[in-house]
Amino acid sequence: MWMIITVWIIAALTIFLGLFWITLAVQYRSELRRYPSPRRYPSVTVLVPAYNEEKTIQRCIDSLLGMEYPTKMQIIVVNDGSTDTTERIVRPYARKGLVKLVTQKNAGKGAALNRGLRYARGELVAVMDADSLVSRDILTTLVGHFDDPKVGSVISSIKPTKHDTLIERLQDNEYIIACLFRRLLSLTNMNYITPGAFSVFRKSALDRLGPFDENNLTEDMEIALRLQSSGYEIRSSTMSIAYTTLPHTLKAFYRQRIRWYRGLIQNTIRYKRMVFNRKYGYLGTFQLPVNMAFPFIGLIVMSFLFYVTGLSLYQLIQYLAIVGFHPNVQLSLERALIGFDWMIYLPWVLGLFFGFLTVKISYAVMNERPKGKLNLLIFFLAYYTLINILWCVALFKEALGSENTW
Amino acid sequence: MVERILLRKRYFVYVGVVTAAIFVMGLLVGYNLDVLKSEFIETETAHAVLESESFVITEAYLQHSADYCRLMETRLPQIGTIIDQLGRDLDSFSQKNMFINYTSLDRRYFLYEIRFWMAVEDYKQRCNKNITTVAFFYRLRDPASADQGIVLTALKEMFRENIYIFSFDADFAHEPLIDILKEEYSIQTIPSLIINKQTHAGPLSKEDVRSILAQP
Repeated sequence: MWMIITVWIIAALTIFLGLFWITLAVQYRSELRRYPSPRRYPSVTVLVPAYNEEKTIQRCIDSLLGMEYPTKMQIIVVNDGSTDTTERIVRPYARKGLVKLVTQKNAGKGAALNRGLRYARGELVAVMDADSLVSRDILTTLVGHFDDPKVGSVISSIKPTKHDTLIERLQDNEYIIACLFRRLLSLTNMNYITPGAFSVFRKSALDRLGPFDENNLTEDMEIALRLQSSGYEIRSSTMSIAYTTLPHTLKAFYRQRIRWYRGLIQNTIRYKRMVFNRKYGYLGTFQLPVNMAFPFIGLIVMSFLFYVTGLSLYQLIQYLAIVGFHPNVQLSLERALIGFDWMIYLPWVLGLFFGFLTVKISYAVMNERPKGKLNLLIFFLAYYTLINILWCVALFKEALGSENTW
Repeated sequence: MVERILLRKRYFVYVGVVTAAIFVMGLLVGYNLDVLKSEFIETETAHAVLESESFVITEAYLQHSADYCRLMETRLPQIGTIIDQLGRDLDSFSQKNMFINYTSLDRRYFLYEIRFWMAVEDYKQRCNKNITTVAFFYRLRDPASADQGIVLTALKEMFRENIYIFSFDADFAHEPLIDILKEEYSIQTIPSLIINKQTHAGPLSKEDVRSILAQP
């Protein structure tokens, strides 16, 4: 019975959260794709930390140079001790004065950003991963938010550059949902991350708050929480699109997610003063506690699913081993429908319904189409299980105090 | 253009209320499914009771008839199939149920089984048939009982019309006859089997039961 009660409590929480965000999305649907027209175009510096990015850095710089922005931009590429040809690819751009090339010994992304910040002259500083691309209008659709002096950062929507492998296509769904989710977090001032793919900061805010944390696994979350805890707002612009390269193998995906989840755990612990603290609004009293609860909810859901599936399989194997296959049991549709174990499966049906609704709204807002129905089915049935497993690994590694690795 | 939504507590309350409403709807769906299950079983039981009455009257009518053995030979398997399916449905539906009390249905089913068990024993004696009767005393949510159930299913598949299995919840407190049976056959451990009126403490494997059946 305790299992059924747990399932129903989790289902209630899921329905509550699903309804919460879906209702907001529907109520403010006209605001989801809007962006404020800028009163002026402030100067912008784009920082691109690069470590062994020979395959992507040229495309990245070309896309930056192709941006439409009326005010002069400064582009700084920080070569973080690359051992490949990254520097050689960037040098011609530097010679032409299109970018500034800064080279340092390998010290990590945070250190590279801080190094680049020293040379930044712009009123706004954009941080961009070297494996990302930007849409031509990314800055013009985004800088209007900075007319509000409370805004410390504006984040873009992130879409994948490729959907070749199954793992990429599955992540694509997640990224599309994230675009909607971050816009809603922006509207409610609950944003807790400034993704590395492309986020813009007010330089004066960064000067005030100090450099990026060089030892943090997810410096993009740390700086976001630092901004929020200092009273700055983080906005999201749905129409400002950055394209990023997703991990295309399970191994790469595993490494990335473990780093993200461990970073989230570490930063939540570091900023625990914000959790359940009314001073930080609903970010403190609602979103951060939800973030904390998420891995544990996932853990329970996964354990339950494994238990139920494992038990059923065990019983089936045992039955077949002893009894054998005798399909002479009276089967009927009526029996199957009436016999539906609603106490166990109704919460999952509701959960799936809200999941599909969220995906549908997200794709509609982002003007995109899902990459195949099978992909969506796997996304709901297997991807979240995979995510939960990775959460377990991350929690386990944190509990054991394993070494932090990028 | 709206750039900031001022979330009020009222909003959380509204969402909470709608969540609760969805929850209540879920429970209502569940309640109706439980009612449907119970009605399905009621119909099945009513059918079984009718068959039982027909069987009892047939049995009484044929008591002194020379055709008793011939006619009962076809009638018994029919009743056996009905009782078997009713037992499966009752077991499956009562476990997936939250609102309906199955005590009365269970009681009727156990009585029906006992009545049929007696009839099979009579038939065996009178017609000198080599039929095995197994009364299975189990406990709910007991893995050993579940394993024993699977072994008995296997035996039923193997011997078909030559074996009749009757299952009784050993902890069922609402039918005194079950306690009487337990006492009469000295049922001490659960699961236990009464094979051809001989008590065997379980769990027994398929081979164990087969060797018991092979004994003269």
